[in-house]
Amino acid sequence: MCVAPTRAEAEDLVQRISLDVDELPAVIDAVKARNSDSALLHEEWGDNIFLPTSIDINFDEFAKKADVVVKREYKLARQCMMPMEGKGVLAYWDERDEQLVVYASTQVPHMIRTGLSLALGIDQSSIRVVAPDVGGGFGYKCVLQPEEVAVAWLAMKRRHPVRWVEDRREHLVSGANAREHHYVVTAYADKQGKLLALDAEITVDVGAYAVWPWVCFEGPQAGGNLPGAYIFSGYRCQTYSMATNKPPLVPYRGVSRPGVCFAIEMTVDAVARAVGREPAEVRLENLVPAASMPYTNITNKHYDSGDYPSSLRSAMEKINLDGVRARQKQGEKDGRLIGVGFAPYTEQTAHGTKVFAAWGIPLVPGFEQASVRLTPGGGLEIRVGVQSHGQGMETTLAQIANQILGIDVSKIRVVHGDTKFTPYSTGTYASRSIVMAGGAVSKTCVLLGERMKRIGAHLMQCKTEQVRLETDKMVGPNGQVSVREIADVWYLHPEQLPDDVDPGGLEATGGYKPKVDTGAFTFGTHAAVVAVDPELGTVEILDYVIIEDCGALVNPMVVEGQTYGGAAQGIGTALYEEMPYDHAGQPLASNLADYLIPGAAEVPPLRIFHTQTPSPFTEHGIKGVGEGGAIAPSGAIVSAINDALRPLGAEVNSIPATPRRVLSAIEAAKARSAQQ
Amino acid sequence: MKAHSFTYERPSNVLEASRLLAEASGEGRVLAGGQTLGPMLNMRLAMPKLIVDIGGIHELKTVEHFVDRIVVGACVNHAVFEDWIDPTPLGQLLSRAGGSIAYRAIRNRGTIGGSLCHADPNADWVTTMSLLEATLLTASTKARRQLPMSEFMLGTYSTALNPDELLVAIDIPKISSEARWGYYRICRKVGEFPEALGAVIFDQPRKVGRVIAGGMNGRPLSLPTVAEFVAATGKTPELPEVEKAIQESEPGFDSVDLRHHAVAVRRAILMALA
Amino acid sequence: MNKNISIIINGKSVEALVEPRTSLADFLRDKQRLTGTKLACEHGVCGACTVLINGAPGRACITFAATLDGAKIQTIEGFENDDVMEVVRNAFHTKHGLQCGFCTAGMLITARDIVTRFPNADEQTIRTELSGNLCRCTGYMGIVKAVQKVLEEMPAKERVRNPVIPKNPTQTFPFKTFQPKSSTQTNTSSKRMTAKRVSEKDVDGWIRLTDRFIVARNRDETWRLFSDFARMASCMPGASLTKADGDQLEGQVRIAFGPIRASFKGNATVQRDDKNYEGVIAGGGNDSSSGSRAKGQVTYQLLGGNSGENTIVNLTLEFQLQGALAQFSRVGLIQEFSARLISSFAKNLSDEIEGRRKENGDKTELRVSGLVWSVLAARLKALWLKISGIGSSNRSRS
Ligand SMILES: Cc1cc2nc3c(=O)[nH]c(=O)nc-3n(C[C@H](O)[C@H](O)[C@H](O)COP(=O)(O)OP(=O)(O)OC[C@H]3O[C@@H](n4cnc5c(N)ncnc54)[C@H](O)[C@@H]3O)c2cc1C
Ligand code: FES
Ligand code: FES
Repeated sequence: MCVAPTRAEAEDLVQRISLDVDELPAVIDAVKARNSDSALLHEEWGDNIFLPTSIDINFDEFAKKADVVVKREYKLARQCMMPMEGKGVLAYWDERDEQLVVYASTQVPHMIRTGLSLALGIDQSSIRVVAPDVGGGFGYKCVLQPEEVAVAWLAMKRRHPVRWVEDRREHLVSGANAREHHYVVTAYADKQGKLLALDAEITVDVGAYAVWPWVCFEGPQAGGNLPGAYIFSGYRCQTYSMATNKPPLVPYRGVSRPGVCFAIEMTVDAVARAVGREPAEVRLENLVPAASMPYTNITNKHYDSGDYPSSLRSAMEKINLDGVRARQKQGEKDGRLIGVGFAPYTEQTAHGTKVFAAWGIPLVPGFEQASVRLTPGGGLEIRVGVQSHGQGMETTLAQIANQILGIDVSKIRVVHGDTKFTPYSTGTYASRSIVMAGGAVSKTCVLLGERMKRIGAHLMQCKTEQVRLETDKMVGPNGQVSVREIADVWYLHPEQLPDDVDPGGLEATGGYKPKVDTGAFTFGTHAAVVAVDPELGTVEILDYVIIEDCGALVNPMVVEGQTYGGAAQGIGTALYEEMPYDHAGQPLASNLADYLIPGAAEVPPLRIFHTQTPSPFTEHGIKGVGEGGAIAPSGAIVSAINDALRPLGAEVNSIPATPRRVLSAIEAAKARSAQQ
Repeated sequence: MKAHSFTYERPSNVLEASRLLAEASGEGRVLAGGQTLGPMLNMRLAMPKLIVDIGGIHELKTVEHFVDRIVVGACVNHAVFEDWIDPTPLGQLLSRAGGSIAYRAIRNRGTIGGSLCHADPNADWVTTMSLLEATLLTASTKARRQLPMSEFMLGTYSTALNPDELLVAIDIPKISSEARWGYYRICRKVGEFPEALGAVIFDQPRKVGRVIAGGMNGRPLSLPTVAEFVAATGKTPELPEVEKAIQESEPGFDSVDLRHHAVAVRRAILMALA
Repeated sequence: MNKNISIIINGKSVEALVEPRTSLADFLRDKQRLTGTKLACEHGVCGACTVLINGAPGRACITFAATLDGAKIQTIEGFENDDVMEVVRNAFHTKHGLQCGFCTAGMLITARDIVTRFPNADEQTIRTELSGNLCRCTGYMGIVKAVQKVLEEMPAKERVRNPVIPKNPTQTFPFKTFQPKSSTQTNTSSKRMTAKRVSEKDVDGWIRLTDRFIVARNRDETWRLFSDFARMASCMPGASLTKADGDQLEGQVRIAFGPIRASFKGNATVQRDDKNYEGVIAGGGNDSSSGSRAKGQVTYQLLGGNSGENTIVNLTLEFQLQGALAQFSRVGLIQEFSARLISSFAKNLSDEIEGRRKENGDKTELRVSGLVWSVLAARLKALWLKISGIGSSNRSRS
């Protein structure tokens, strides 16, 4: 570590260090890394496999019934997550509290505390982690960062504050990455395109080391999620999580699902093409029908509720499928090719104990807790262990409390992001916060409400059951008292309290976990119309429709914000974002002119439509929504690109679908047809 | 991403600037708008000992109109061109080129001279000034020179400027009011450097017909045969013709890059003929 | 050598001693405690650091504080009494124009700039104008809607300060065919460098270039130069040999690529095959200041020319860069640069062999242009004098 008063001076020091290493051959390609003659990253392993998994469920039995077999290879580029604020950590030893205080740009303050305690060998009670305002996370900040450990250690050693803020180059070339999956998928279907069986081989490039605590679960998750919203009876899947000379892979918004959604949608398109039918129709027939809900799918996922086909149908209508088909027949004046694509998806949200325990993760989420306190003066303070960094939980959790207690949202303060004040939580990730923390806030507010009502009933001289909570007040059969009066009585005039008052007072902590903790399944469909310029291979998104169902909508604007943001990232995955490496392992995009993220001009106006199918298992029927937006765009957009390219016989199966890839696909198709 | 430590001077005239640069014997660097040098300093790709800020030399910010030419100071900002109220074809072309660069915040500070001196093949001014056959006026304490654009830029990031020499102004010949031009950028994102650039001009009264492919791996490429064809026929050549013309002068592009360059050129021609 | 500046920040004048390398953003954040301005890329792309510099949006990350003596700066903290910003801010609030808020300061300043320049703007224009500000959270929907709301709700005359002039480059007259006269500035005369760009499929990290030239000397005489490493090194632009011990060489290669300077120190081993007139110099070195490493080799092969008095020299340069200098996608540029390098190496070698090199004098001196200074019109001269600060003129500025 180079330590100096300013970052500039620290960089001066870095410049004086030069590394003298004997180079070993680099392992860059995860698929090739599986070969027995590959160079080895961790020699003691004898191979490069972090983790292999395999599933075989009635595969042979159903595959052999197929009339149509299609096989494809898909590839997703390595991506950087690029929250606008990078990582950052400031640590000092508080002499008075005898405590290590760590300010971190993190989604998971409590988890960081646990991790720091393990790494530094000090008690968790001697550590306080604060994450005040965090400039975006998206999964990048849901792990213990090496820098957090290093800076905290240094602060303890040196007994003065130490700070490190990641810069963009560090983020690009050395920060953790995401997405790099490779698929070989073979689909077995009948003449109508009904899927019978699927065979998949998934290779995930997890980089050189695993991250803590999400050790290597992306490959297995991909295997489990590949079936998506579809039904089939035979499934065989082999996954390989491979070590390469790259930064570690972390769970980025959607985790493995943008990859599997892309792979399955391309496969369904290929099946539809093989049987000569409208791809949207083939999709409709393969989706889990509403009548089967709740449905346990082939990989044992419990789809709790929803009408998947009707979601697709409304996407077909909103995007005007018939209109696009008619327009395609006419052709475009400018010579561009129009295509339309669909991607139905499921988003397992707030999956809990059972799922994570099965993955063997060192830190398994359990009950989520919230502490709620009626403050002197009649306000409400909610303390949660999740972290809000743009998700608007300050608003949505307050809304839930308001719904239960009637206290005006403007008087509710949500406290989060500080281990000193909030109950333990594994944090914000996996679209879990509104379900888990929302549920906990709801449950706890009910507890607190009962105590408030007891006091109110006493003041109004009625029975507790007769008291209703309304905006900032309680109403009984013979009058009303304000919430403020309740607080005043408890804090300032206890002489007026009933004898049987709950001595716990106006502060309660409650916990919550959904009845079924394998996740609430948000679902939806994305649909895109694109224009491909066949001369250049460039793609313009002409229309983009999102049909979204996350159960009960706590706040439509927040849900839309989450979905739009996710979709913009998905557009990045589909068309722009890529961290290429050369054979020597050099990352080739160390700045934002090389690593392209979509700007306002690259994201089209997104048209969103909600449906609401409450989850039968969660409090208020809420499902999570953080990741869904990012899952389906590659599926929908590349499906649309391939639809556009269909007259040319070309297909793009590798993303981002850059002009170079699209043009190369067109050229390859031309070369093929010339040969025939 | 913090710059290394350097010495800073802000002279008030060109000769003073040149003298400072000469004293730095190759270790000095001019700073104009800083929109290229700034990032390079932050990334420590550039680490000159001395920075000579020419932002305080007001004369470099002037624009002079003559009957047959416009002489633009090296430190005129891209946004000045973007906002140019000049209905002539030249005014429109300069406004289009200047307004295509990056984003408004960059255009407010970046300068035409800085862009030309940096000699990035993908830069808009590099292509535009080649198209217009501008002459670059330079100065140092030892000499003053005027270099045609074709001799000014030697290759990627490489110009004929001596270490103590400054670009002071760009002398742009006027084009006639009947001239037609086309300008087409191919870029992945709005505001990005174009990966390929086509710039063409057909000025019948002045008998000037020129077709330039920009964003090559080095200097912009002039395609006189294509220009002659268009001028003589008023027709747009087919794509393979343009590809052939580019490949003849600059072989070695793979098919995708070649295609992009040819499409840029062809679409610029289509624009000029529209 | 710190510099004294006096600038006005948010209406307050500030005197400060700044290190020249301090960016405006760092100055604002670390010295003025104005942390509303964010840094997210520090190379001008993302817009998070956008502030007003003398009234116009500019990037605080790539503007050095030392250059701003006398300037007026307005940061996000400085719009308390700005009627337009108030409307913009409210629109961001009601249209959900922010999530994490990290891009928001820059977004607000850019959004305000848009509504003060465009009396009205369609969605495409708004999106194009916003493209210099990246947001990773919102998908831009709320931001675009917020700008639209301001355009709709605030009358143009209350907000437009610096209106854009609509452009209509329509060319109405018919195209007349003609015979163009040949250009005075062509680029076909001198050799163009060509290079193959590395494609997405084939990124092997090696740059390979070849050159071939003929010298009017026989093979043995030519081979003698290729046995004298010091002379050979002197032909490679930027190269110098510090030690030659049999097959082991030590030295450095200095590279100037625009403002980028690198100096690779290292060693190399020579393998020679006298019988076949072939050799390979292979080695590697470090440039400590950029933290970059290079390895590569020069292969040379001498073939007897037709007459026996000529020798054909085949040169191959192969190299691989690692570290900061290599971490870019625009490999084509490095290749073009290397192509120029090998061709001047080839030229110097052939001049050296044929004994022409000394006569040429200083090889680094640049060719002066073909145009003679005297043809410059008198008025241009006056202008030049004015610009270079020698004379003065009272011509009005435009
Ligand atoms: C995000 C971003 C996007 C961009 N996109 C584009 C684009 O699409 N198209 C495009 O063309 N450009 C683009 N640019 C570059 C921009 O146009 C720069 O403004 C320009 O290239 C450099 O001008 P400058 O005045 O900022 O020069 P500086 O950065 O100050 O200097 C550039 C170089 O020229 C030298 N120099 C400058 N002036 C002189 C002079 N008078 N005499 C001698 N040497 C001098 C400097 O020493 C330095 O080496 C982009 C830049 C950024 C940051
Ligand atoms: S930080 Fe200045 S533009 Fe990104
Ligand atoms: S709101 Fe988070 S980056 Fe824009």
